[in-house]
Amino acid sequence: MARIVSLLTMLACWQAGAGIAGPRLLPAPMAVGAAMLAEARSGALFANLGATLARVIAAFVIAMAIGSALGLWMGRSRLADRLADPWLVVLLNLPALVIIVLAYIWGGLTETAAIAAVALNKLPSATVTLREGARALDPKLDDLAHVFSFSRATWLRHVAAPQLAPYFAAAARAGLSLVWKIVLVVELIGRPNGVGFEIGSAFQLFDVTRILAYSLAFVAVMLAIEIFLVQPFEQHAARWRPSSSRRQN
Amino acid sequence: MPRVGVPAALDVRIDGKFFQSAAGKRIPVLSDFALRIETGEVAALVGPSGCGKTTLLRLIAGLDPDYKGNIVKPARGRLGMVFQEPRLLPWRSVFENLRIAAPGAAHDDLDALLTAFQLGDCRDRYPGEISGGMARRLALARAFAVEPDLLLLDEPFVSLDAKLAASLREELALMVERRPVTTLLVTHDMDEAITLADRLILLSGRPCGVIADIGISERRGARPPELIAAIRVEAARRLANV
Repeated sequence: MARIVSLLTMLACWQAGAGIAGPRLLPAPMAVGAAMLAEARSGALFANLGATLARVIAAFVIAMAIGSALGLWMGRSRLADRLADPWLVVLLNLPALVIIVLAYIWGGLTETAAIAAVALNKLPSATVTLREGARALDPKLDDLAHVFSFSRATWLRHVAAPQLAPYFAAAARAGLSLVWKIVLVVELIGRPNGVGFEIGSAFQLFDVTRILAYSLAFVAVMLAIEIFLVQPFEQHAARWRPSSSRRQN
Repeated sequence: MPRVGVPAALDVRIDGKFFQSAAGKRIPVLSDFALRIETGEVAALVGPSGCGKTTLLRLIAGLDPDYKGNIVKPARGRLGMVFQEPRLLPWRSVFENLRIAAPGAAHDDLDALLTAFQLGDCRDRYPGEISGGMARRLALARAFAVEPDLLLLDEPFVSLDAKLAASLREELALMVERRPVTTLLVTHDMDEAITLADRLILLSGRPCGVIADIGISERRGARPPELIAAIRVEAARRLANV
């Protein structure tokens, strides 16, 4: 209920702002909705959303998989931490734009270069978050695993993964929003389709309506992912916690 | 019941075990310590808190490789252990806690074990949803689930109220009687030791040394209160003589 009131207030502010600024600078919500509908009818909206979403998923999966493995390794082994930490610091502080431009120069204006550039931007923060998780693993449960000779797979699945789940969810949530923003930049610079490409061409024409139509459509897609994938994952991972300590929604 | 000529189930010789203090000083915990336990014997190590009992158990369990000495464990070497806290996997159900520890065991056997420890009703609950006493029972059940060749018990009933501790002790005594297993119990509770063990090994404070070794021949679970009292007096006398 509170969320709906908040959302309606946002729309009302937008409508009021549109009245003051005029339709060229800030078109009204209805105008943006109509533009979205028109793009949807022509099929262009879904084609571009699909292209962007595919890049987001590919880059996200690669970054999370490598980042989690690397973070776990660095959190568990002091030597690994010392070896990989300087690389991580460099990558963390390299501006996204530099990585993207270099990826396109070295890899050409290809899909591979685009996805690699996005994944590389997300990789260090996922690694850092999972490394924190790995450092916080309970040594008493490791003793248990040792005494009862748990296999490596059993340890990972039944001892480590449940403890890492909150860190993984945090990295996933921060990662999704970061990845899709960087995907737009990658598309703007060197891809012939996708939401970023459309926003780029709308920018050439100062077409604010189309910019808002495309960005809001994609925000809706990401919101759906958060609600239907990330939150259920968190709830599943926290199912063992006594219900009193669970967050009330 | 020591048998001549049969190799000991557990043969421990610690020449030296040190702890590094924060100031960098090496503090001896165990030195020139030796212990032999025969196959099927239940031995209790009794000593004051902080005398190095838990350290010794961690060395035997293989959790701490940093010591000088030699530890020979049973040939097949399957280990069951009960820690000072239940130490369960809170995100796995009661049954899964057993299954994960003993992946080779038949599900029927695990269910029978849960029933034997009066946990049948909470098979599918999570550890956070059962009482402290039940969690201890589950920790015991888990140690038996792996059908251990060596059972290590580290003050398994510490910080439980006296009544609950006593009833769990009885249950454990029955279980050990039914499924004989070489057991090393570490405790500072003399009653616990006398109820469960065939052999009392009394320890001094730091560095840890054996003061006395008292055998108990009566069967577990059939020890009259007078006998228990007599052994307690004997142990107190030996402790006072040091």
